[in-house]
Amino acid sequence: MRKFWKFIFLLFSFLFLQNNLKAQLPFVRSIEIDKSVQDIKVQVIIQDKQRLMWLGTNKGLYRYDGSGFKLFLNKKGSDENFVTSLYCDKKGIVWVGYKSGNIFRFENDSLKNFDIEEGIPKESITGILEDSTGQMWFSTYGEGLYVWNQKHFYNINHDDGLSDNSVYCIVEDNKGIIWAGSDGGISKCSFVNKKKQIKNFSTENGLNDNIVKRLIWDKNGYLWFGTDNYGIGRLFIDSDKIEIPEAFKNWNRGSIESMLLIEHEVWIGTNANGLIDFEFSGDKRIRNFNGVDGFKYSSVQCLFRDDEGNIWIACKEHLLQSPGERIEFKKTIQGKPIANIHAVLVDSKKRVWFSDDSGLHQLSFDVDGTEQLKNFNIPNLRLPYKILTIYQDAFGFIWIGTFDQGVFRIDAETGNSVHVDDKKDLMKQSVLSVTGKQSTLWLATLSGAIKITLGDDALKLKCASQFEYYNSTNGLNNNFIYQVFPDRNNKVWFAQDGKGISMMDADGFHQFGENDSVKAKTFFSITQDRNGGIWFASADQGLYRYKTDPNVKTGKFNCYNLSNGLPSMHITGLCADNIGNVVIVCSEGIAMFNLDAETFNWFKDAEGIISVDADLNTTSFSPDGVIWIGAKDQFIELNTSIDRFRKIPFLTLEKVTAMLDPIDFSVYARIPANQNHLSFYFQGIWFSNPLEVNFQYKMEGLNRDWINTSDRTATFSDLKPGRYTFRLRCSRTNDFSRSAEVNYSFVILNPVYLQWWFITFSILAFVALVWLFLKIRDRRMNLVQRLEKEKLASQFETLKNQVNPHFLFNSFNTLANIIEDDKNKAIEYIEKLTDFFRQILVHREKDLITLEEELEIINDYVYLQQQRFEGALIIKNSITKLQAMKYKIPPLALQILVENAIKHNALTSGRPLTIELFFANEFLIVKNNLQPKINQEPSTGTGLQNITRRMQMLGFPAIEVEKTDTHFFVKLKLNETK
Amino acid sequence: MKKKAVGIFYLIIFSLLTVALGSTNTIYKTTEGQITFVSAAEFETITATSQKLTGALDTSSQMFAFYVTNNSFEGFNSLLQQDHFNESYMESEKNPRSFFTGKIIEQVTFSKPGNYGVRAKGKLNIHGVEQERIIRCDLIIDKDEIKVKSDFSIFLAEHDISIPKIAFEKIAPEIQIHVSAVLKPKSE
Repeated sequence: MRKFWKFIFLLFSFLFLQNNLKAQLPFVRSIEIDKSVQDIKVQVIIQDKQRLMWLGTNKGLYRYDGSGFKLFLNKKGSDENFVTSLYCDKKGIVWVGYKSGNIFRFENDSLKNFDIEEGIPKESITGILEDSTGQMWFSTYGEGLYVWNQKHFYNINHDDGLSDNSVYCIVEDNKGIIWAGSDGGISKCSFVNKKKQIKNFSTENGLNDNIVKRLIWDKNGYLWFGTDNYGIGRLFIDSDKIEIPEAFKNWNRGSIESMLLIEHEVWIGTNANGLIDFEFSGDKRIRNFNGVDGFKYSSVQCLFRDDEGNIWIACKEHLLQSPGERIEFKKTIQGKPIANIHAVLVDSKKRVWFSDDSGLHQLSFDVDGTEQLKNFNIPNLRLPYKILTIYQDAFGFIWIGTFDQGVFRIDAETGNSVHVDDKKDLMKQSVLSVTGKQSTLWLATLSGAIKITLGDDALKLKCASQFEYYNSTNGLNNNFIYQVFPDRNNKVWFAQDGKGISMMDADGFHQFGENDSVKAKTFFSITQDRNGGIWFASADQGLYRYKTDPNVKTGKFNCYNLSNGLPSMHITGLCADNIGNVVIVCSEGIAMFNLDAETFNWFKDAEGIISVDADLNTTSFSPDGVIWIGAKDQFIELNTSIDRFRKIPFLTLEKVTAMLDPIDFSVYARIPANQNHLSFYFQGIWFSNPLEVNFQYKMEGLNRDWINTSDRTATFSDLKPGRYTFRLRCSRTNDFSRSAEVNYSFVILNPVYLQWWFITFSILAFVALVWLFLKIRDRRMNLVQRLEKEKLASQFETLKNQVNPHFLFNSFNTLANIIEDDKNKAIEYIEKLTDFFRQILVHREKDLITLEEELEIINDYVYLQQQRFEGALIIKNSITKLQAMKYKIPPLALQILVENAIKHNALTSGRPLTIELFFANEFLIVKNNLQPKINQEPSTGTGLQNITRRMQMLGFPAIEVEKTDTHFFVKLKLNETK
Repeated sequence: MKKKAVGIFYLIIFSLLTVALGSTNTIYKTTEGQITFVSAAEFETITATSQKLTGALDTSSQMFAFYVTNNSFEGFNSLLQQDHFNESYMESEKNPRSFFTGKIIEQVTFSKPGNYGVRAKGKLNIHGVEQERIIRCDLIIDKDEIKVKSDFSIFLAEHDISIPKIAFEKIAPEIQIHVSAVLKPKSE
């Protein structure tokens, strides 16, 4: 019977839940993968070490860098490209498992087949992981598990004790044990030293369903599982205890395809009922995201959270991206749209008080997530009214400040209200803000500030001494006060209209203006951060921060505006959380300043915030760490505690090309001068809003200033030789000072003709050439000189011979004989003698004369000698006229030879000396018979030597001398006349 | 260790026989399969073959058992080498046989003739040391016979076969194995 009632209750509550779920929803936007391919269904999503997203789809593998999707297909055919699993291993290699059982690895920009001796599975690869010992695990739908220990491939299936061979997923725990979800429940597997150990969990152990499709870990190390038919549950792996959350005991939303754990929530992607969010700690509420913003999440195949905190939702029809639970929107309350919120306060019991045009309301949530809305009727509030501010004092009372009707104090539980009367004109004042600290309250009005001291008996509000007034008459600059802020150091700050900031401490009032580098005149709100810094929102000059230097004890103002990271100048709200963030509500979005990182992060249109348009007192910090912002038509909940994600774009230099050829930029490059056309390809990965990313680059050695661009390439043509460093940084704003930087140094080499070694070589070569030239010239000069010398020597020799007393004596003796016998002949003799001397004189200067001319000298000479020796000297000249004209010869060469022959031989009529001149084989031969004299005429011995040297110097071949018993030969090779 | 392995072997043969008694048609057997090993070392290539590979395959359970008597290998480069093989490396007296027993991973339709590339998962016992292995084979199924062909490799170190230092350049650490056998239905 009790069971029956429980059933009825659950059924009832479920029906109730369906209609009245807490309806804050995260923002989602759709991302188009590939227009050219129809019906792409994303099966699995991962992010690699380079922060790139990988999407495994039924049409192949896609990679996304924020600017575009790139498709990678393996070469096995179109039906072999259905990706079912992806994994990025510790080295950063992406593993791809296919429905066909194929396994590929993405290396060097292409897919490489994972080919092993054992052969790869034939069933769909449903999961891949690398365990802590470096073994690769693969789960298959049909063949169980596989382990690859870098050497062999091992199988673990039903025969080894695995409860079922159809495995959906694998995960590793912190002890290196692998947990598998299959058609047979959950299996705990290990493979150490080739030993398989398996323990199975099924319905017998308390599982709600034996078909376990998804497994994920939570922060505490509990294993959450999603089943086919019975929802989710968790396994405490230390105790093997299984727990099914109460809310899932009557699950009716069908098969679970995907799960994602975010802080205290599990997002559950179902096969047919969209996306469901379960908060497992705290409120334990369930939310259904189906149908948000017009998207139908019928089947959610895959959920993934990237390192920026974006949640990727792969549905049947779309790929969606969401900032997740960090920022959520509430557009309706109990089905009614929200409109014109004027003030918001989250009280100590997490109830949300807000005012709109219809009055004051209180929104709260039951344990099961049901919204409760309470409207407060304030009897003394006259129509029309406007509640400008809501505050909760230290005693739990709610205070509201109104336009023209002062303040009211309301009992948060009973709703009883008191119109606060100071016996002056407070009841007619416009109270722009109510703030306070402990038992002190501060009202900001249009005629100054009012301090209310609450007595020990908080209910007593009747004593006039409780009210203190501050205005332009007693210290303030102005009577128009937007907010009074008592800080933790007992200073009270006043945000004034047109007159800057005033501060009151024990010493009295202090004013801050231009002298303190505070340019702004009008301030709306003030807050104090965790570290004690005071923040001021100005109307038009951005944000100011007052920080006290602990050493000097004096404070200093810093201004934040568009130039140093503040995304907008129109600030309406300011709120600090307790973990070190200051939230700034602007008209274009919400910014968060992190005190540790000293940087702004923000949520804008990419996160679903199109226009905040909030009133001044609509930002409130809830005790559970969430900041509530009431905007014109919605509540925005900002969860500042989830702040572990990357906030700046991940900058990578993807490629560097020289003359369009990629170069290895991991090392210092030496680039030849003729390849000085360089292009740099880079990426700043920021999936939250890729369009937001700006780059700045500077080529040190060329550029003096940074160059801004939103392009992903930078090209430099015709870089001069020299050393360069390419510096690159990126940012989401114009402020690059906190950006990561990528550097790449290289050198453009001098062209060859400017290289030091080339110059040295050239100089050496030139010197060598000059030296060689001089050397040759020197040798030629020597030759000419020697020739000249030889010639002179020869002339001298000849002359010496001809004026030799013997020759003259012999000649005159002969002449004396002839004169007596024949007068005419004597005249002829004298003529010949004269002719002979004349020819010697004519030719002695020349290097060469024709053979014909030489023969004339010989004729004269022989005539003279024949007159002396009569028949004892016979000359046989067989040189033809043609030959005589053809050849050249050094002057007197033949004459000296003939003279030698006469000189060295005995001449008698009985044994005449026969001298023959003839050509044989191109050689001029002077031949005479050998009959040596007994008394040799004195010989200088220089005749033959002289001819030989002279002919050598003129380039003639050497003279050959041959001596037989009977004959003497001289062979001369002559040059032809040109 | 060795006793245990031999024990397992007999157990399997026994279980095969009992299965065979149950449904005679599903057992295919051979006693003259061919198994060749090649050791391609830097300085010497050793090849030896046995024609006495014995095995059985149960087509209904997809279980199989194969063994070869170590001293049936012939064709060594020298008689001395064969002696070394039997005495030093295989220790054939202690471990007379090498086995491979297990089950085919994928479902094979044995009733349908054709070529099937399958993976046999089982225990490979050489030199008395058992290693779990997956071995790729081709099954050529005909009406009355199943041809089995397989090429795989074994690492000597995995089976505790140590090579003396002097023989390092003559014996490869990884041995290539080629198997070819024709299995016929078990006769009555």
